[in-house]
Amino acid sequence: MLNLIIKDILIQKKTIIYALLYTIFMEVSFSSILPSGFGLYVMSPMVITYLFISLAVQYDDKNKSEIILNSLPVKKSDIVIAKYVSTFVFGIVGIISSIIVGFIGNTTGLLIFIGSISTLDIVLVVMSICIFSSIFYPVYFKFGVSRMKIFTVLIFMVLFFVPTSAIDYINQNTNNSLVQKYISFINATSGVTLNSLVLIIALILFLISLMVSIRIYNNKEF
Amino acid sequence: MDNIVEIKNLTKSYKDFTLDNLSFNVPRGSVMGFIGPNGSGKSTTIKLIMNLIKRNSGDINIFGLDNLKHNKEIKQKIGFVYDENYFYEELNILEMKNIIKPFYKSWNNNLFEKYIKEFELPKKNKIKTLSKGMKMKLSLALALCHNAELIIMDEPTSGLDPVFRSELLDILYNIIQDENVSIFFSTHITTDLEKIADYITFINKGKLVFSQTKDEIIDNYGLVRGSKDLLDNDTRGEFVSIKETGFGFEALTKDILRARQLFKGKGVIEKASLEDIMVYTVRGNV
Repeated sequence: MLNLIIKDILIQKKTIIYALLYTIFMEVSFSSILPSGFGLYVMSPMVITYLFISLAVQYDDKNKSEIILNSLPVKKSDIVIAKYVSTFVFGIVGIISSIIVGFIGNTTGLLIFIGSISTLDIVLVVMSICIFSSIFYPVYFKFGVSRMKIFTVLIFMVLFFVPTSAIDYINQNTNNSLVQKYISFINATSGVTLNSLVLIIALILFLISLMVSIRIYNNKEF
Repeated sequence: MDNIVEIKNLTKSYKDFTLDNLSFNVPRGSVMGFIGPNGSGKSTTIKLIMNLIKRNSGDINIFGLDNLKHNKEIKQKIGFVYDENYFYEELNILEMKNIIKPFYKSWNNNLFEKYIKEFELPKKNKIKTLSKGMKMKLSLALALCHNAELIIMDEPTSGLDPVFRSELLDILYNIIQDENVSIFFSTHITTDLEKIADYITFINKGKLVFSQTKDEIIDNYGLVRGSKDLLDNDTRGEFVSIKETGFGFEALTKDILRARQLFKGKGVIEKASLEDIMVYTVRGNV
């Protein structure tokens, strides 16, 4: 299975360079809009993970290389599990490149100072890439790359607009009893508990999605 | 003799095509030529053997093991060559090899280097820059370096020029000197098989026509040529199919000895090539 994850990196070595360039771009363009480092430490690892995931499946698709993979001595379920695990590997690459860019920015002062990465940043990255993969992979395994593109846009809209519109809704409807309950729950719960709760929910979603994908892949014909 | 591949009552249905109750065996150490016209089900059969598609019913045993239950185990000992390039085109030959290699327990890198040299493959070139023949050689090199006991090839010679095809057949000829290796080789270019095959399995429209030794087939099938007055209701029944022209007829028989007795001194009788057998069988009576 490790072979499969390494394969996904080997087929797109250049993406690592793009990842670093993208991180610098995010730092430069977003640090004034989002001073807390959200652009550098959360958004850029997210987008980098997305880049790696979608490029990997595009390379697989381009030459129908899944025919080769499925002719090798490897279980179908391992092919699926490898794809899911690679989400975290790509996430780590994204986080590391944001830490490197942040570190260079902090020490040289060439880039605008933004401080270092926080636990919350990492939680947010892990949560969002888990949710992204959970939706992306079952659809990809079912329908293939070509029909995936429109769907990716949808996933991004969900990831970006649902949280912001939820916050807007809460701000505008402070009298709503559900909103009040929600606010008092947030206030009563510590940051650590909240973070772990969010992570656990994302991971459960991730595991359910993994099982669905294995089912889909086992029935797939090449 | 034990069989490396045993296929029993294999059935796979699509909307417009059915592979129908196919049964045949590939004996150990033999070269099995798998022939049939385009769309006869050759690729479907190979995909079923490689577990790339799901069968509706029947059994496939490879090395005596069920190919679904023992998928991983079996594939350790199978080398595959397909009719198209399914490798990552942006990678070079060495990078591609490094992806394939870790999947096999017994990968022989010296052997790979030897083939690369022998086939004159440029190691550092991206796969997309290789010619079709070179891609085929790469495929073959990758299929031969993990001690495979069964080499499965789907139309490896299609789209290759005659020089290249003959080169490929020489390579295969060398491989089969090892008595442990069996080759299952699909093609519609039947002359390829006349050189190297021990057995021929012929399918048409998803159904088995025959699966026999090449010698039996070559010895028994015959082509009869003569004037039309040799044809009557009785003699017509002797043939698989008959081609009639303004001058006379040409027909394929399954029993050349009987034809020799029947048409003694009256027609021209000669051995049929695999191509004749395939063409006449597929066409039916005209």
